Amino acid sequence: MFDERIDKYVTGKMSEEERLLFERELAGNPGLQEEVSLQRDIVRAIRMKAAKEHLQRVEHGIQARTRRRKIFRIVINVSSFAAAACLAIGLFVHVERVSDYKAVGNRIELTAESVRGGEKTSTAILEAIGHNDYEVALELIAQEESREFSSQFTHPDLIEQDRLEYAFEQESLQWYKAVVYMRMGKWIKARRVLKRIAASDSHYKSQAQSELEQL
Amino acid sequence: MRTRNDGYYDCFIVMTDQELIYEIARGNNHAFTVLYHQYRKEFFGYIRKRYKGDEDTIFDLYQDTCVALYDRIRSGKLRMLNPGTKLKSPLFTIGHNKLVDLYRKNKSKTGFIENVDYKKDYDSEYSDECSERFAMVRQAVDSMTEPCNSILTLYYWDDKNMQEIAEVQGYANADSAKSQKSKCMNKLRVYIKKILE
Repeated sequence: MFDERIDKYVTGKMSEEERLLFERELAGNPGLQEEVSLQRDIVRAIRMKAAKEHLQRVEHGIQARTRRRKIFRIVINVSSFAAAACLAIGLFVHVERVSDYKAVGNRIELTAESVRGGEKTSTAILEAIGHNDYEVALELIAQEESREFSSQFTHPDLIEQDRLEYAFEQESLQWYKAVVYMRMGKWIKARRVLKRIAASDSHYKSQAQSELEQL
Repeated sequence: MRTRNDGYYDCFIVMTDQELIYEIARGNNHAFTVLYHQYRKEFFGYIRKRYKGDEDTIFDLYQDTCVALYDRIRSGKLRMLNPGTKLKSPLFTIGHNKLVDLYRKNKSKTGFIENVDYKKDYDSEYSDECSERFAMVRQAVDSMTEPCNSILTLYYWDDKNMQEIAEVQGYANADSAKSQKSKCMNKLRVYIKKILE
């Protein structure tokens, strides 16, 4: 039967007193010495085997993490490349569009519409556009757009006439705005305004449609 | 809370060489994992300059090297480092010796670089100390089956007490686990004595 004391001695689990007693017994007992030596070898072998298995698990974990990291890096690289390509294409398209819209915007000739009461403003807007003061032009357009309809007449036919003129003036302002955006190269805004005009019953509908087709 | 057994958390710990020796000697297995992580990259670089064989052989070589160093520390052969000496020194010496042993065993010399003198720097102080007797003991231990393999590993490697082993292995109580451990140890000792005769 296996002597538990040998195990306690080999694994260092004996008290100081127990150890001294055991070592005294050990000194004069070659058989016990042989048993202790064998137990020491067994414990050493068990630990070495467990240590090797432990390191195999550790290495397996490292390999798995390395693989995951590699895949993650590939995904990041591909995504970065795709994002960079999209950005480059987007930038190219943007530059092209800016140039196209500017060219078309500059080709369009604007004339002051003869509208009752609005001639002054209309002329000021066209002058600003003519001097390339696009920000000023946009400000004037915004002011005019916010002006609400009012009529000084009382006769229904005259009021209706006024209403039609007001509507035409608003359509003209939309058209000016589209042209200003085109000349500024703000193609997204210009496109939005042109589409709105093309979809409406505006006086400028066919012109807007034609410009959109070109662009 | 540590829930992984692949030493993941240990790769973030940095210990001095003397701390590593001290902790490994007292049975701290995490310190052993730290040692494995700490020199892994450098060791692989060293071996790859001398051996172009398959990766699995290199992993195996490094693991055996670490186990041999672990054995030296736990058996008290390496307690202190001389001033100015690093743990890397015995580790790489053992590793180099193991590479030389591999070179000697490998007849075709596949993977070995021709112009490298493998026998150079062989340090017999760190040679594989497996006496024939110990090799047989290791062989017997390696051939252990369940439940003996688990119970003895938990007791001697993981340093678990009988109550903990009973809980992990599903024994009724600590006495049952202790009885099973004694049975396994007796069986193993009888077997080893028989093959040593």
